[in-house]
Amino acid sequence: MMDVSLSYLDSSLISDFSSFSQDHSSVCINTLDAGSYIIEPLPSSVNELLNTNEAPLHSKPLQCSLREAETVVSDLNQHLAKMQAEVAQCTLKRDQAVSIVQSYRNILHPLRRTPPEVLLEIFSYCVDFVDTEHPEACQKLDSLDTKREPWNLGQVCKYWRSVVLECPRLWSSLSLNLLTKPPNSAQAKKSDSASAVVLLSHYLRRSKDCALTIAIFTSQPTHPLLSLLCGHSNRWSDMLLSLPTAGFQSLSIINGCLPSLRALHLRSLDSEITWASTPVIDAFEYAPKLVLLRAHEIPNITSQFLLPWDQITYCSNHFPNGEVVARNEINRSNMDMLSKTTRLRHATLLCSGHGPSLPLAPLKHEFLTCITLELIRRSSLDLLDQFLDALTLPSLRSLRMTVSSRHRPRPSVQPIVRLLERSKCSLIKMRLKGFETDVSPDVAGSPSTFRVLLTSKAIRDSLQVICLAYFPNSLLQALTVGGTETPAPVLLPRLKHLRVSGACPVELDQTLFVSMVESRVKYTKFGSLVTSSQFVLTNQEAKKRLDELDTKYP
Amino acid sequence: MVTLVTSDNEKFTADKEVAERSVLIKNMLEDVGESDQPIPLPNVSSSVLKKVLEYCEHHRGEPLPAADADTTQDDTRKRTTDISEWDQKFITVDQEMLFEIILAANYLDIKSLLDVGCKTVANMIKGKTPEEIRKLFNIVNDFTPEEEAQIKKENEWAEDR
Repeated sequence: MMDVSLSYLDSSLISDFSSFSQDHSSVCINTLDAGSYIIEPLPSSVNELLNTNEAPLHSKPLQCSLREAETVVSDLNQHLAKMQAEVAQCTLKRDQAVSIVQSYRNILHPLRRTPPEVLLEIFSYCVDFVDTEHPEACQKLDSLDTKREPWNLGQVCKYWRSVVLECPRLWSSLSLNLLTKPPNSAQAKKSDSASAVVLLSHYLRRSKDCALTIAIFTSQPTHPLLSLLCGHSNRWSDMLLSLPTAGFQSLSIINGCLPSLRALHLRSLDSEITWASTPVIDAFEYAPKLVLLRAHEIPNITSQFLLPWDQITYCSNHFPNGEVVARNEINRSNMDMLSKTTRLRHATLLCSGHGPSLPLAPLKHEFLTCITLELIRRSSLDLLDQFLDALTLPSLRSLRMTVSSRHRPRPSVQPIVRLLERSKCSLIKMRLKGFETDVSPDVAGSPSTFRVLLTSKAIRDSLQVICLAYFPNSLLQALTVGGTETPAPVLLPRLKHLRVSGACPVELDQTLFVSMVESRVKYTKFGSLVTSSQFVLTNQEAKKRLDELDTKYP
Repeated sequence: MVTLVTSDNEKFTADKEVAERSVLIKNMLEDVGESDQPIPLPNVSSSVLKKVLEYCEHHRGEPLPAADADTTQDDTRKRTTDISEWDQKFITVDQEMLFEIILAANYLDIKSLLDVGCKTVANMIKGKTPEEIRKLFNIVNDFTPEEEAQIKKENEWAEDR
């Protein structure tokens, strides 16, 4: 409590003003605690004088009141100064106490009690592990950038460094994009490489004996970093190599030294013409655990690479950068690959070319369960037909096929019907893009090829997932489940998931589409409708109905 | 119902199904069999257990990770740090509480909650410099001059590339 000994002024102040205190209705202001000043408002007579320019008739009492008021002001100023000093002192002490609290809090912060295994779990979410399925993302990563994780995590404090350096898992995944502009001088190049080699050596040492996931992109046939990585080829588990042909040739030194390699991604930086004159590459001939192969822009891979084909269960072969002459042989190359990969389960192949194709021998593949075929732009549809007609796939469960949307009229699914009939398989998933999906009978009254496909033995009683981009009215009507008389769907009765790819086509009858979905959703065995992000209904009524369906049947 | 006793001696009752989202509690219940005995949780305070039970209640009925799940299998695969909307709101707490929840999730063996906590901290850390991380968590730079020199070298090599 403040020690204020000014109360004697109260009475004098009030008594001196008593002659003027006629309007007591105003509120008193108690500026201090009990026993201190009570400042009353000016008497009404003084207020009246304030509203005129006249000199007061009796100035003596007013001067007396003025002096007393000045004394009060002075006294209060002193009092305020004293209080301000006390506030300042109190603030200082409070700040000191806050600092002490903060110090204790820092010491008791649960981060200090966090065990290494939890810290490691946090760190493992910080590190950008290389995902070789997405080469473009890999190219953006630079594992030798010490400003990024895991390097920077090891530069925070002793404890974090010990956790980071003792965890090989954080260092088991690396991406090196060496395609950037080379340095100007040879001297600079040498010194730069030396620094990179030192860093990579540290990185690899910290990975201890962990299996490695690596992505490397270089246009140079030999590179010190690639050589260093070759020294650890016994730990390669998942490897993405984006190299020129000479770069692949230089890897012969690792032949027989790939005991852990499970996945191999080969990306060529050279043209097909260069490949034509390249000797067979034997680097990956012995890789006892290799089961996954992704090739990118490598023509006739079965002739160019010695690989343990009979082990491979997943294989893809892509040529996304346009068409060239040698692709007339892609069908044969794909057939060679399928004939060699006797245990193959999943294949993603490109089927393309111009002009006459080389003849294909029929092939029955016993194990292939999932095939994805893409016919690239401006390629001849005959080549797709030829490829499908040469195959028999009794284990096929999933079929994904894409032809260019530029083909008009849309190609028929006839070769697919033939493939399925011949294979005597039961499809569970089917995705078709670019094909004719009209189910109206032709002018002669014969069923359309697409209806024949959907009602074929291979699909009718087994297909659970279908993905289409084009829904003509005839198909929408056929897929719509009838009234109470026919509660079960006639077409695709076991369909659980309907997927719609691409944007909403202008010709789509959106109301009919939603009605079809509504009828399917009400059917108990149906699971979900999944549309692509570009598929946006423009008919607001149809959109509202579809949104309501989402709410009712989430 | 299961009764849980916190480090500050507060009692909480929870449905068995909710409490058993903690593998530790599940195992303890299995060990003691049918019993009304309260389960002591000396490493969890009442304020933290309240949050943990809120999480378990919300995720009641969701499948639990298999006991023998190989956690190292996806170690080197790309791990997403995405957190669901509810979880994100739930974990928006002050830093100390966030770490207390992580520690409790680790002690109680609630994998999904531990993941949410770790992802949240990882998102706070990612892309920051060591100095920024120190400032964020009040961590003292306690490196020896030799260690500082080693770190400096690492950074110089990276600069020189």
